[in-house]
Amino acid sequence: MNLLSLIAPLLLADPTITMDHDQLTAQIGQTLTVESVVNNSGPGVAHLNVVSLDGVYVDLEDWSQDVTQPVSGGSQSSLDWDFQAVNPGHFAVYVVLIPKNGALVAGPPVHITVAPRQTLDTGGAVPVAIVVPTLLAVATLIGRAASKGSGGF
Amino acid sequence: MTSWNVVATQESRDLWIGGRGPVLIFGYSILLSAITYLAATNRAMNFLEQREAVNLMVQVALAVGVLLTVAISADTISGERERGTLEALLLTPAPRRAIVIGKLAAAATIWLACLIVAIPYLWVLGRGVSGAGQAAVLTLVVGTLVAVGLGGLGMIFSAWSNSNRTSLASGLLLLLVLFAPTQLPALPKTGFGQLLTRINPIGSALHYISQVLVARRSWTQDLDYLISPLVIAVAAVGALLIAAPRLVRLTAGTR
Repeated sequence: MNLLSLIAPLLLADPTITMDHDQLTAQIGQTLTVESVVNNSGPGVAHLNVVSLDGVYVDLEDWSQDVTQPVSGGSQSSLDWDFQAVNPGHFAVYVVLIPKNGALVAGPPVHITVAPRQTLDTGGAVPVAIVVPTLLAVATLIGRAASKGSGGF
Repeated sequence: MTSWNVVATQESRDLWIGGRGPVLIFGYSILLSAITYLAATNRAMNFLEQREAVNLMVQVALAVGVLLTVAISADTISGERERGTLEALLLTPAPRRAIVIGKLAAAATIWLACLIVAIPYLWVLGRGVSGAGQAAVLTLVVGTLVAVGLGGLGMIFSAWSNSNRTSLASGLLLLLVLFAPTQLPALPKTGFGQLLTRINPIGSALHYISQVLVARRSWTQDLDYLISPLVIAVAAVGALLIAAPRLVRLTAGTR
């Protein structure tokens, strides 16, 4: 068995992608990070994608502003992906490698369940929105009346 | 009581008792009320996180607070010239430096009033995420630097102008030029954008605040973004102190 036959499987091995999670849960608005490792690849570009499993429209730009990263190639390239869960529901997040030559390589999906959350309630907002300007208006009127009474401007 | 204290007290009295201060602050509170109500009720403005709503409120409070400070400071000297009251002020024994510092301190009171009025809104938007106290302290520290710096520049414009309209227009133009780049969402991500953000006192202040409030970075992590507001504040106050004898004159631009 010569040296070539020993390294041939390595040279001919297909590139693969592994993820550090297979499932995640989050609340809407939460920022998440997943790590992908690209193995045995040549140079190329890795792309993050998000798919709704409930049929909800996903605007990828809302989820992440950095959805592509260069892959230099080699035995292992580690890539971190930050994204914000902007829709409630069930989603799959996956990474695709676009090599300079050859077919696309898709990694396993990370299933994410995003729980909705009531961000604000009107209960406290309305009284503050009414009371503060009212108090200021009263103070302004009193101040004006007092300055007129004292012969000021 | 020192001379600048006397000037500051008198100017503050003119601003707040029967002056424009209360009316401007009332209008400002109406704006904050509208934003708070929309943030809490409107689905289109249903922010992802409470912290983002708090951040929006801080940004509006800072932007409008600085706008009002510049508007007031742009009136300080050119306004007195137009009303014919500067002569009487120059006849007092107060040194010119005391006059400019007193007037700047009085103009800064509108910024402090804006901050105080914003606190209930920050509280109602930040309930449950412990964001209100942090946002108020951030607004006080960062906003005061920006307000003093740009208020100082507004005063310099005022000293250079014989007309109130000219100094106010110059101040508002400066604010417009500084605010416009902050509305480009992708700006801080590019190298040139980073540079523009860092040299712009408003852009860097707003970026620093959102990094602490929304991205939850520590206060010290992006501290270099505060260099620009600090430099503007020190430079404006320094220039006012150094050039005060030439700035506070009956007519602008004459020797």
